[in-house]
Amino acid sequence: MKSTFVRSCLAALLLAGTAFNAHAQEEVIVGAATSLSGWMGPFDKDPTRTAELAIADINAAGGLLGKRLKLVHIDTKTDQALTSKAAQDLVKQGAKLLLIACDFDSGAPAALVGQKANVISISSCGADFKYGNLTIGNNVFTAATDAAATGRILADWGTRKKGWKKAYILLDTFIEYDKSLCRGFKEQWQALHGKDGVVLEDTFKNADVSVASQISRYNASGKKADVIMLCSVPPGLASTLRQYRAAGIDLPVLAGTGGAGNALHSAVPGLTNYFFLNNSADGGVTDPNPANEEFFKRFEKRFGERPAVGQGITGYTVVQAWARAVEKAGSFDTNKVRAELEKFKDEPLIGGLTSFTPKLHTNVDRPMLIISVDGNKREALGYYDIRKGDFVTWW
Amino acid sequence: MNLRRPRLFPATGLIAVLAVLAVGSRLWGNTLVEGALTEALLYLVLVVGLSIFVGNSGVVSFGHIGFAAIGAYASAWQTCCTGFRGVFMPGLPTFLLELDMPVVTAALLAGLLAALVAAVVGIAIMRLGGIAISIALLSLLFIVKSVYENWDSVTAGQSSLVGLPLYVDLWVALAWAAGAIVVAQIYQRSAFGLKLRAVRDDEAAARACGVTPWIQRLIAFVLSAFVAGVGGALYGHYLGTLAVSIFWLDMTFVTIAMLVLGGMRSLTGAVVGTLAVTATREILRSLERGVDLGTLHWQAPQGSQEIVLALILLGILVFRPEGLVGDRELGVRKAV
Repeated sequence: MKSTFVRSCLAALLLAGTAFNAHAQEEVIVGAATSLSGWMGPFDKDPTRTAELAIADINAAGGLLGKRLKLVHIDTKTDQALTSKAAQDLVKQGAKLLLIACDFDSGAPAALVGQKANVISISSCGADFKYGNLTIGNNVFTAATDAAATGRILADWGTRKKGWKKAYILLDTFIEYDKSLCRGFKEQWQALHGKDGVVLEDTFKNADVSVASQISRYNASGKKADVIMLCSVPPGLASTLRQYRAAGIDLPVLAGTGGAGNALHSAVPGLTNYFFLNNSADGGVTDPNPANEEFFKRFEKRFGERPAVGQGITGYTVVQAWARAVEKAGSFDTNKVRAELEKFKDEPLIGGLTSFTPKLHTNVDRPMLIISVDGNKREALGYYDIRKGDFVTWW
Repeated sequence: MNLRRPRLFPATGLIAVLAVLAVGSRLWGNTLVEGALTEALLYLVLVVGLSIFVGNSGVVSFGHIGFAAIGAYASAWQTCCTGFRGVFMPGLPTFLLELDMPVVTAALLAGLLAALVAAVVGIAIMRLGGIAISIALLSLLFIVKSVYENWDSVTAGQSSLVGLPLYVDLWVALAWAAGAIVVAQIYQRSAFGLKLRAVRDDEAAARACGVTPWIQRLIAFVLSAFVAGVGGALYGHYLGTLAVSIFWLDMTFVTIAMLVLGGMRSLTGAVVGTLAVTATREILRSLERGVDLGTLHWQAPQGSQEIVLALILLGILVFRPEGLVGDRELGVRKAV
C-alpha cells in the first residue's frame, strides 16, 4: 500500500515536472535588436512598436502553433558593437526571429549573429539590396521594398499616369538608398524614353547649405524637363526643395520613401506638385487599403498617435511574414521556415504584397502607395503596381 | 628600484588576474558577463597600446584610434568576406583580392601597417612639443577618418564591410591582451622606456644626459601604434563588420577615459581603468534594460549610462587626478 502511495506521489511529481516544463516551453521569443536612440532611433521606433502589436494580435488569436510569443527588445542605440551584443544576447535567450534595423549598416552586425546561429533575421524597412541578395547569408530577409525598385516604380508611374517625358535627376550622394533610388529611376526611365529621356543629371551633398550652383546649371542648360527626380532625405531634401521652389522652378518633384513625413511638409510651406511613395500612408493621410486603416486605428489606440511615416508598418510585416511561414511549415525550425518564406508569392500582408524567392530576399515588384502633396494637403493616389502599369487593389 | 624581484611584475600578475576573471566568467556561465569581459579585453589591447605612448611620454594622444582603424581595415583587406571582397572593395590590388591570410598573421601585418604609418607621420609630429603633439594627433585621427570614408573603392566608404571572420572569443582576446601587456612591460623596462620617462619628467635634464627626445617619443609611438593597430584588427573580427564611424570620437574618449581613470602612468592603471569603465558601463546598461526586484520592475532612464559614466570620470579627475592607482604597479613597491 505504502509503496503504491510513494509511487503515485512520484508519478504525480513527474507529471507536474513535465507539465511545468511544457509550460516553460510554451513561450517563444521574438527578439528585436533595434535602436530607440541615436540617428537610427526615428527609423526603428515605429517598426518596433508595430512588431509589438503584431505579437499582441497573434497572442490574442491563440498564439502560434499553440505557443505564446514574447517580444524581447534590446536597445542598440545606433551602435554597431552594441547591436552585435544585443543579437548574441537574444540568440542565447533562444529567440526564433530577430527584427533588425531599418538600415543595412546598422543592422548587419545583428544579421551576422543570426546567420551564424541559424536564426532568421528580418529587417523592417532596410531597402539596401545587400539585405536582399544574401550578402550575409540565407537567413537574412527584409520586409522593405528594394530601393532601386522604388525608383523604377516612380519612373513607370510618372510615365504612364502623368505622361511626363523628360526627366531631370538630382542625386544627394549622402546615403546608399538615394544612390539606388536614382539608379532604378534612371534605368526604367531610359527603358521607356530612350537615352534622351534624361535631360540633365546632377549631384549635391545632403549637408550643402546652398544648391544655387545646381539650380543655375539647370537653368543654363536650356533644356526643359517635365519632372525632377529628387533622390534625397531630410534635412537636405527639404532645403533643396525650398531653394528650387524659391528659384521659380515649379516642376513636379518626385521623391522616394525618404521624402515622407510631416516634418518635410512643414519645412517647405505651401508645398505643391510633389509626389513620393511609401509602403503605407503617413500619419494624417487616409490609406486606401481598409486593412491598413483599421490597423492604424488600433495603433493610435495603443500609442496615442499614428506612425509618423508609412514605413513604420513594416515591423508588423516582419512578424506577420515569419508567423505565416511558421504556420505553413508547422514548425519553428529555421530551415523549414526559410523554405516557406522563400515560397511567398504576393502574400497579402499588412504593409503590402510580399514575395521572396530562394535568390531574392527582398521585394522588387511590390505595389507601393503613391502620395501627392498639393498646397501642403497630402492625398493617397493609390497602390501602383509596376507589373500591371496601373493602380491595383488586392483586398 | 629593486630590479631583481619585480622583473616579472606587473605583467605576470596582471595576466594572472585577467586569466582568473576569464576562467571565472566561463565557469559562471553568464553569457552577458563573458561578452562584457571579451570586449573589455579587446579594449585593453587598445588602452595598453595607448598607454605605451601616453604613460611613458606624458603626452596625451587623441589619435591612436586612427591606428586602430588602419589596423582593422588592413586585416579586412587580407581576410574579409571571401567571394565578396571584390564586390565591397573593387579597388584593392589583385594580390590582396586573392589573398587568404591566416587571421593571426593578418592581425600582425595589420599592426605593422599601423606602425609604418606612425613611423612616417611620427618623424614630423614627434618633433613638436607636448600639447602640439596632442593636437597634431587629433588632426591625424580626422585625416584617417576622412581618407577612409572617401576612399570608396578600398574601404567601401561610408558603408559597412560585412563578413569578417568572427574568430575573436574570450580566449583569443585574453591571449592578445596578455601579449600587449608583455610588450608594454618589456618596453617599459627597456633602456628606451627609461629614457622616454626621463624626457617626460625633465626634458632639459634628459637632453643634458644625451637623450634625443623626439627619437625616444618616436620609438614609443611606433610600438604603441602597432599594438593599437592589432587592437583595431581584433575589434573588427569581434564585430564581424567594419565601418569607419566605429573608430571615431566615442572610442577615442572611452579609451582615454579608461586610461585616465585607472592611472595614466602605470600599466596596472590601464588594466584597472579598462575593467572599471567596462563594468560600470555594463551595470548601467543592464539597469537601463530594467531589473526585477521581487515583484517590482525598475528601469533606469535611457541615456543614464552616458551621464553616470561622465559623472564618475569627473569625480575621479577632481578627487584623484592621478587615477585610481596613480603610478603604482601591481606587485611592485612604489618606485623610488
